[in-house]
Amino acid sequence: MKSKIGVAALLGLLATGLLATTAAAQCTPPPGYPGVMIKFDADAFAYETSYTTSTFTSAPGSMLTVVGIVSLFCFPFTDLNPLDPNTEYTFVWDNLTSGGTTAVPYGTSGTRYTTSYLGGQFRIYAGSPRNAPTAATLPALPAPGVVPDRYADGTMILSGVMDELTTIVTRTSTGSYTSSFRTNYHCTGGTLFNRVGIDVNLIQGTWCPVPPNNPAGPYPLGTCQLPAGWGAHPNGKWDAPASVPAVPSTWGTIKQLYR
Amino acid sequence: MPAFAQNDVFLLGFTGFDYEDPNPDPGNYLALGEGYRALGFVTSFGDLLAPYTDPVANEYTFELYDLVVQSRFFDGVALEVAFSSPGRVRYYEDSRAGGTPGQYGVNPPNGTAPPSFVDGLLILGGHVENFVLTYDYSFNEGSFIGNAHFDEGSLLGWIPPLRRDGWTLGGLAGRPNNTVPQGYEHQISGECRIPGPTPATHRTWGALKALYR
Repeated sequence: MKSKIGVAALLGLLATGLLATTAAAQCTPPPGYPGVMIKFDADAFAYETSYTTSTFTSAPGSMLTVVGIVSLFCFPFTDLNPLDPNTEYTFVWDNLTSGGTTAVPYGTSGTRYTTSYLGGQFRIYAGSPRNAPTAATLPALPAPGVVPDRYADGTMILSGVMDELTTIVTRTSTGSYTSSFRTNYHCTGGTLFNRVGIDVNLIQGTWCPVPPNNPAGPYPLGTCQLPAGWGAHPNGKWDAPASVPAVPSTWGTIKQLYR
Repeated sequence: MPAFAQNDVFLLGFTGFDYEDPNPDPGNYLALGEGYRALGFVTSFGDLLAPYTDPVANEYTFELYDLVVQSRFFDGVALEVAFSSPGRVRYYEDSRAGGTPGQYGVNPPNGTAPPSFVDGLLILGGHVENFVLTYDYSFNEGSFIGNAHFDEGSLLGWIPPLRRDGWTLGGLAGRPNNTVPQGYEHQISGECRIPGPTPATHRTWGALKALYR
């Protein structure tokens, strides 16, 4: 009986996907749901060809570019170490064409700034040495030979296209700012393309804008100070396509749960 | 390439999900008096805490709680909710070898959420004030912002006392979203930032003397 209970418990754990590898545990998805695949945090930045920081306004036709450094890989890329001292995982989003910004009253006394971009593409690189600017070393723009170049060197491990990308910056009724972005993506190429395939899922996160009076300050709550030329600091992630199988495990891992 | 000194600095990043608890009015998202909670994983640490954390050996999780809806504006598309203060945020470290992996489950609160996200060592915690959540149902996205004031945890001592007041920002993605488990409301991706050091102004004795002339 005891053994039957053990087997049943084991099968139950398997069925519910609880057996994440330890390497993937920091991003364990809920059982039966696709999870975070790639995360970026401190070192991601956006700029565009015609953006007015004082009004959070992107002109129609302005071209948006986002560059960044990956901070976490989850399944199916748990074998990649974003902190590898010899390899830097960077990304570039480009070809994002603005449809212009709309500003409308929000809440009791706030304003919402919404911008949609079409035509987006992304590429993720594994490059050596680590040479892309971080938040601590970000230069003012333009920075020829540095931005976007140092985010686009090395082997392209993944590429893809985006649906409409929408950014929303809201000056709330309390005077602080909230911000977000969202788009769907699917992969089209790269040396690791076969791990993910072509199914669609989300890229989503925060879109912390530079303050209206950047870079002089002061800085309202929810805005991010950046050097001249930059427009926002995104923080977000790619979710794994739904077709990517659940996080795998091994019998050794399963046994460890009962030791 | 000149280095850029930011006024505020990245403390940590996170992903997770949010939900209502208590939720006495299920048909009315974040009705007056309802509670807002979020939990998930820390995805990276900034320079202040990175030397004292080990994501290979440990799992890092967070919980945001004790936020009660104080005011609410909704025009059919745009939602703005302000919360009574203070809420609270806590970050935990749990050994991968002997700890319990964080598991969201469904319909929180449940047997694993929050419990598997609030076990282990409390490394950092604080109260959260001026918390505001906005959401746009025409684009199914929104975000929150709040002041965080850290006052507890094993790593608190590594944050200089004058830099323990920060803020937390999270981007929200609601349905359609095949990553959000049943019973949770939004997927969250965000970060906590804290003010950078205020540089002292370098002066000369000559300049000081000039003040008294």
